[in-house]
Amino acid sequence: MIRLEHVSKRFEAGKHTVEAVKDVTLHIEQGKIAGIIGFSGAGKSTLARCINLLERPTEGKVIVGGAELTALSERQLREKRKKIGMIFQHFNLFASRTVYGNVAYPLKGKSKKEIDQKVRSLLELVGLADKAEAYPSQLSGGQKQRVAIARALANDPEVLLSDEATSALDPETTRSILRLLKEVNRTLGVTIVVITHEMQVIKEICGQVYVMEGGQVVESGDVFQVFASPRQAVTRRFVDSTSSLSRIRELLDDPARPIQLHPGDWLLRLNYLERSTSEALISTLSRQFELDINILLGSIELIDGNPLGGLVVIAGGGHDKITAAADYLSERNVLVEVISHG
Amino acid sequence: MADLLNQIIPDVAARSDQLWRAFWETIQMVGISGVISLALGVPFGVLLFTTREGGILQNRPVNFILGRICDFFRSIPFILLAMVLLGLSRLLVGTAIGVRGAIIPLVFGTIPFLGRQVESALAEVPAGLIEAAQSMGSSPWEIIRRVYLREAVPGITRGVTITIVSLINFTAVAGTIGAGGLGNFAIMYGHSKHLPQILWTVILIIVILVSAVQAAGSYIARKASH
Repeated sequence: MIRLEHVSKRFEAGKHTVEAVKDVTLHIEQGKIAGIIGFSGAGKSTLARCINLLERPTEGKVIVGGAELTALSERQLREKRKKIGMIFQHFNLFASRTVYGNVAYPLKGKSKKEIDQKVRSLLELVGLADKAEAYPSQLSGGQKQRVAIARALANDPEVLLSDEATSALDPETTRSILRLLKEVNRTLGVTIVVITHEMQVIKEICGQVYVMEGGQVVESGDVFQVFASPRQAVTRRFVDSTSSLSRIRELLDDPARPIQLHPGDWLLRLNYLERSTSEALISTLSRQFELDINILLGSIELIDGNPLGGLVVIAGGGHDKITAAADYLSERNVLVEVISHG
Repeated sequence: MADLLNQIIPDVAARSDQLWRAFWETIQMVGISGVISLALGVPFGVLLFTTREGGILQNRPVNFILGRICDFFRSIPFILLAMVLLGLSRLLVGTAIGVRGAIIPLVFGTIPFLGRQVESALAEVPAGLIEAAQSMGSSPWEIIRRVYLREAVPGITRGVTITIVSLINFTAVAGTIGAGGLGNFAIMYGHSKHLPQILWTVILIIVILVSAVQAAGSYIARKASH
């Protein structure tokens, strides 16, 4: 549905040239929800704007729904943009128009009856049927984003670009907006591209992910794969950002020494790498390998219906038993990392 | 009432017909040149803004030329501008005096002023709205009409209010070089014939007029903001 081929975008700022996007090639299939994640300045928003040519790439091709946007005239491009909805971090609703007026904005040219039907059904979809006559200033952030979503869907787009759409919202509202996007994807079949700096957002709704850094896509693929075995430092930082496991370092450095290792104890971090973690691993370890296991931290989340995460444990029972257990875990695709010895 | 006025301000009461005519002339000058300035000044302001660097009709040469023209007219004190334009006025409307003769100088003095007011009103429309409109496939013309001119109504109203106030001021100045109106009346009687009552009465009328314009402008701007 969306294909970028060697897309680069450079900005001239005085004498400096800033290369915001460098040679990005990607392909997002129809009906999928893809995420583009990166820290600020990574170029993800510029990349998103290259998809509907709000930013025209300096080099490369942008193909959406079979049409090469980079080869279209301005007029043709405007027609095509009607099939690519976009929502923004700051909602960008028209303050002078009511909720109804905002959703009706892109429907200009259609008959009054048609517009009315469409607007009512969209407001129904986003759960704001009773707010039609309200002005944006009277709405909460989450409601504003719902209006923006309704407006972006008015022309039955094939693609919806979401540029940090939940970044200005509280966690609860974020989840409700993400649920709405998921529903839109499922019921209307709209391909969604989510730009975010929040790992949580990717985990919640995306099937595939592109990790950006310095204008480039440094890692990409299936969300579970990418986050179960991150290859790049930046990806690891994102994984750690939502996992409590990284807190073990803080706990070890804590002068109050909340963690006491006895001689012979090993502090281990177990990372689940594959979609296989339904076995009773800990019980097996303690029964079969006669280990004493104390779970300190655990973080397991479902991504795409598969558990991802791991545990930080103190294992006691002697060197031989522990290494045997580690081998056993490795065979079951659990990565064992020794953090320290007692 | 007439008796009362006769007692307090006899100089004014004796010339009430002239005063009424002067008042009416001022209203005419402000009205006619105001409407013309609005019709030309708003598009001028839109062009000033949209041809800027990064604007939706970005065009460096056009923006440069419009900006210089605007600054040129704005930097000339109105009384001198009016004098310079007497010839043009004769050419275009056939006279350089009276209400008709005042229109051309007033319009030339007002358009650049209003243009800048409109320009800054449009600058306050958040850039994100323009981006949103573009993402929905709006053309530049559509964005001007349906986004800029609509979202900026409160700002433009405030700009128009300030412009009308300065236009009232300009008509008084124009009165000194042959246009009619309250300014002319005040100078002819109040100043030249040393009748302070007339001077103060005209000032009072103009203050009331300006206050009314300001109040109406603020009301409309407030109504238009959501």
